[in-house]
Amino acid sequence: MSGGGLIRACAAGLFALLALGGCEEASRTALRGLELSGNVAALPPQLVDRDRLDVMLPARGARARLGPVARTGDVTVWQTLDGITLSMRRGLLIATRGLGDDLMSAEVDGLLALLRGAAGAGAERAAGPVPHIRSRLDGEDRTEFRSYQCTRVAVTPEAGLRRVEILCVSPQDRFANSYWMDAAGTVIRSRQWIGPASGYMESTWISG
Amino acid sequence: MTRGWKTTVAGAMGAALCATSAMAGETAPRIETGYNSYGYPGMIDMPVAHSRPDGELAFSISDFAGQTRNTLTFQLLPRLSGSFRYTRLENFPLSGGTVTNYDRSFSVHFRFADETWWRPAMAVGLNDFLGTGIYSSEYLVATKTIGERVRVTGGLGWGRLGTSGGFRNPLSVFGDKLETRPARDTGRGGKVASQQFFRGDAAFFGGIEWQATDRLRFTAEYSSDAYPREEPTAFERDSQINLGVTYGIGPMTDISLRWLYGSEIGVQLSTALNPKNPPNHGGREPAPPPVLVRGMAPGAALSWGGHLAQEQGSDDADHADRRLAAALAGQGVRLHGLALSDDRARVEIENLAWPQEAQAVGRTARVLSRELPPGIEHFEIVLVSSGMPVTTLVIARSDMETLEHDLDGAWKSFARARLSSPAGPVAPLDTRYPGFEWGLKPYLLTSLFDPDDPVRADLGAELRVLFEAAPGLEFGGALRKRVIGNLDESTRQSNSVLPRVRSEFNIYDREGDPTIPDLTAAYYFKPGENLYGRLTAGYLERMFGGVSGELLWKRTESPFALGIEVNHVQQRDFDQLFGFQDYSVTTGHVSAYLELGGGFHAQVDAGRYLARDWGATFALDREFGNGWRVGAFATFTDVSEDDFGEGSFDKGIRITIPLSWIVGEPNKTRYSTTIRPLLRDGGARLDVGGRLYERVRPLHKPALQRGWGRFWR
Repeated sequence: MSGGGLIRACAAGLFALLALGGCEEASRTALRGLELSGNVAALPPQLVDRDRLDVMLPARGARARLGPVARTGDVTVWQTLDGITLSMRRGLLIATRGLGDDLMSAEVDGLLALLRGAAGAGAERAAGPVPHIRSRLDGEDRTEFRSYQCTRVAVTPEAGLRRVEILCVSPQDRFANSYWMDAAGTVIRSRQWIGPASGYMESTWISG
Repeated sequence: MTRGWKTTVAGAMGAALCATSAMAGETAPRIETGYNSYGYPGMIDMPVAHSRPDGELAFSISDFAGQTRNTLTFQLLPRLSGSFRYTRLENFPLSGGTVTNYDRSFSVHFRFADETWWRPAMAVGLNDFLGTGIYSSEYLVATKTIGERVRVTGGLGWGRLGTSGGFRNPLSVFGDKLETRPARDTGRGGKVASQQFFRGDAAFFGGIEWQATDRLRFTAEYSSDAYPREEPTAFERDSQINLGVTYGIGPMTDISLRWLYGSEIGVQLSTALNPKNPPNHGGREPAPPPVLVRGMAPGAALSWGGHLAQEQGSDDADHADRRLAAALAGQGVRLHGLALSDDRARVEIENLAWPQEAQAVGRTARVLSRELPPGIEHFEIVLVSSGMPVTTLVIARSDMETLEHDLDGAWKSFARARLSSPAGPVAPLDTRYPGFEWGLKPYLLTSLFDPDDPVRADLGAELRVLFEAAPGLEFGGALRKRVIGNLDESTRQSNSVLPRVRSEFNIYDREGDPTIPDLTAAYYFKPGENLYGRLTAGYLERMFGGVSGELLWKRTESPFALGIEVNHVQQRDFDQLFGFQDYSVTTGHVSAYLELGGGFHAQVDAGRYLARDWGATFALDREFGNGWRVGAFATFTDVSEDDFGEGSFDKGIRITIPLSWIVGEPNKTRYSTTIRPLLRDGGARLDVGGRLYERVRPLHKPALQRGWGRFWR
């Protein structure tokens, strides 16, 4: 083997790949080429009331306190200072934005029914399975739906709250969410699945 | 308070450079299909019948006995891959002595049958069917998995792959002609050598692969390649058995060590990425503002009406314009025009940040729901590019309010939006024009495949300015200063018999510093409902200046477009400043564009080229939903192969990578590169900036629909 020739030719090949940076589109966007961030600013949260939500992402080692920036029907949009939002329908996560690999939307009517059932007298009734559908974007920005069947696997009293565990299973994956509800059926604490990139989030509601 | 929720840009770029990991959880085969020393799916020197995942773009370097092969392979379709290879052959026999030879070649590999429990996967392939033919060969190959970790392969090779253990071509039952392989008329290279395909002696090859662990794979193969050209000058061949071991050092990168032909040690490094798997899970841009539902506003603070009430009498519509413009600017969108009437707002916008136009529309509609008076029910959003109104979307405000948290909100909102081609002109705000922008950034210029030095490059700084005097009227230019590089070392003289419109590029490289790569006045306009026009004058590109006119016809919902372009240009001085040389030419093309579906785009340009030759360029690109593009093109003109010179005709591959794919942040910048085996004078097209099709197409219905998943993001 000839060392020098190999290195030269290898360098040639590698460079051919790196040279992909060769020419940039000569258009007005080129003027912004190196402004990696700052194209889009994180909005300072415009809070609509004094409630807060403390959220932890154990898989990322991150925690944040969020405030409500919109309440539409039974959906609350919670936002961090640096522009990440979580949308919750009656305390159940239906969307994230700004996290990366975001949960685009989710249908949680069945899960809400399971929680209501747990709050009622006959906790044994209606333990599922109920449908739960989530959507996200794939690597080519196409919407991808995934359908889960969810069952209530346990209802246990814990620290004055009722803890409900729900197991959701799809052909590809599964997750187990936990919800702590007070006597009125309000979700006070939760541990909910976001997705493979973010893992679970743990949330605690702090009433304003 | 949320430190750690976002990784840094540097980290993201690092992750991107280290290739992307495969999506977890999908059906990963227990036995990895590797790339062989020629860079196509195979074992060591021999092929296998399987393919790599769809869309994968791989680069491999292999070396043994001074035979270095650099290969770029693209899995164009699930069954079809294509490779471009640049080889350095030491001790290559030539006219009695030996030389170091540089060669370029193409390969295609087509899997026509999938593996089932009783049948092997089967594939057919062609190697070096265009170039000078050193690696010219064809094969038919079958591969069967046995158990979970062993795979056996057997096949029949022709040409080079039929040189060891060859026998009479079994295909000769179809005709005696197939018994002999005609010598290739190597001449200028570049001709498709179809008269050779599957002719001459054939030979068996085969091999076995054992995936010992998830990362470690052992391979043994019997090669049917006798290396008829390279032996004995490059190496001695003692055996046809090759042995190899491959170790995966990353999810998409592996390294191989081989014992070849009983006499030589070989190494290979292969790395790949897949445009379908962005390193950042599709972006970490700040969340959009939530839609503000009318009647649910918690008081005056958030609504426009309330705002005006607070500052009663202080101002009028001007203030509203400024407030809306500021809110949109924060979302990467520039407000170009605004008109309110009854229950309708006409809002002209320019997308400055988003790779998908749909996301700019979504962010705009969210902002409008927060900023416009409650009486406005319809948002008429006009997408403006270069001062031209390209597409109008009418979105009902009530749909924004009801679909924001809907499971299928993306598709429902697209289905309810009404798209059309705007009829009237734009109505810009007083503050929009004139506009001035400038930017300073690095540039990289490369020159590949010169036998004296296969890679040369210049790195420098580029100052670019843009002055927009009125809608569509743009004055722009750039100034480049080299900082470091060796492009000026090339002394190779052009031997072209055609007008030297491109082949003296190295003189431009040598004599230009600093340079003005382009300096133009351009006017973009919309002469009819589905018509777009461009007039450009000045220094159009680094080698030519003059005037250029273009007209494009494209309907917003149509996958088809037609264009015509006419230019009269004169060759610029080598120093790329203000002077001209004597050569001038009228050049132009009629272009047809077609979206074939599945992300494939075809383009045909027919007309007259820079060297006054007449012909047509055929191009096929695959575009991924995230903006990646990989494509190939070829140009055939009335220049004879002899006059064209080495390569016989102009051809190449091109790749575009969106910056947003790498860093995961909103950015419209895209990096493009074109790799030509040779740059010569025949079939050379003017490289004028601002061509209309790529300015207009992202704003039309098919592209908006494809990207609409980002509407609510």
